[in-house]
Amino acid sequence: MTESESLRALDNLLESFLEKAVALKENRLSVFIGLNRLDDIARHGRESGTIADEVGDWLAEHVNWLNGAAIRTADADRIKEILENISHELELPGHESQESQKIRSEIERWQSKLAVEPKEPALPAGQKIVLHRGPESMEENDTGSITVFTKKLKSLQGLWEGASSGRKHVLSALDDLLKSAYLQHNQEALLLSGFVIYYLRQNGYLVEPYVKRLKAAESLLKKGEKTA
Amino acid sequence: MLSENEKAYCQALLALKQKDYKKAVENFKMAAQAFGTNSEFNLLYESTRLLVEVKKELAGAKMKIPSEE
Repeated sequence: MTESESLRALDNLLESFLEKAVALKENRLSVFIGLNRLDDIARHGRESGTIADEVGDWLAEHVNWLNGAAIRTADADRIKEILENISHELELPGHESQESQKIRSEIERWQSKLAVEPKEPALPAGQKIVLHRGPESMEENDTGSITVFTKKLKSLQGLWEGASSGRKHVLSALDDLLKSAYLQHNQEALLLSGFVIYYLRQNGYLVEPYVKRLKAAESLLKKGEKTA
Repeated sequence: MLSENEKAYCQALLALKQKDYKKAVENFKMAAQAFGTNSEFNLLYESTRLLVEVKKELAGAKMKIPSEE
């Protein structure tokens, strides 16, 4: 086989691999793309002055997300958050048109109807952790109660199973947890990270870099709570 | 709102789907700051980077052939 033939074979192999990898992620990819597009609209729509039109098109294009095409809780939360920002934007002076009002009611419908899949075992790159939402209405809100703490421990165990799945070392799972705490403002991931770090420290690991990341995530979470 | 790294990752996957490998590499590079420790991310990134290099080599080889003949 000549060098050129080898290169061509490698070219075909890599293209085929990437094509299959993307095909496997098709569903997630469409969610990512939709989420990213909505984020772009929220960021740039106000400058272009066409935010109502653009959101209207986006809502129409992704209406299947309301009709049973369930998406993950974390993604749904993000969509709701962005839609809420857009809805506030449409309340501002200059957006009082009838169309803006219509879009705002549509956003409200989305906020209440956006379907969420309960759990997905296969996790894509960069999204290793499945966020588990607590029950809609807690019977007991006292964080000092045994019941609430036991529920939290169970929830953390589920989170740990997701984060450690397919991992060989606790440090790899910790890395994912810290990413989730930092990027997704996941409070449970933050709590679990603290526990894992303490465990590792007790066993003689150097944990300073992880402590720094934990503190950064904690401070970001606190800021988020203040602005919420 | 999505972080710049997350947006870059989305763009990279979209570029892969559209077979725009150079654009995918550029976006993977930006996303690597946040996702660089994820093995699946690295597999996609490195495979795409290798593919771009292979394509460059192939294009270079094609350019050379006429002058060599």
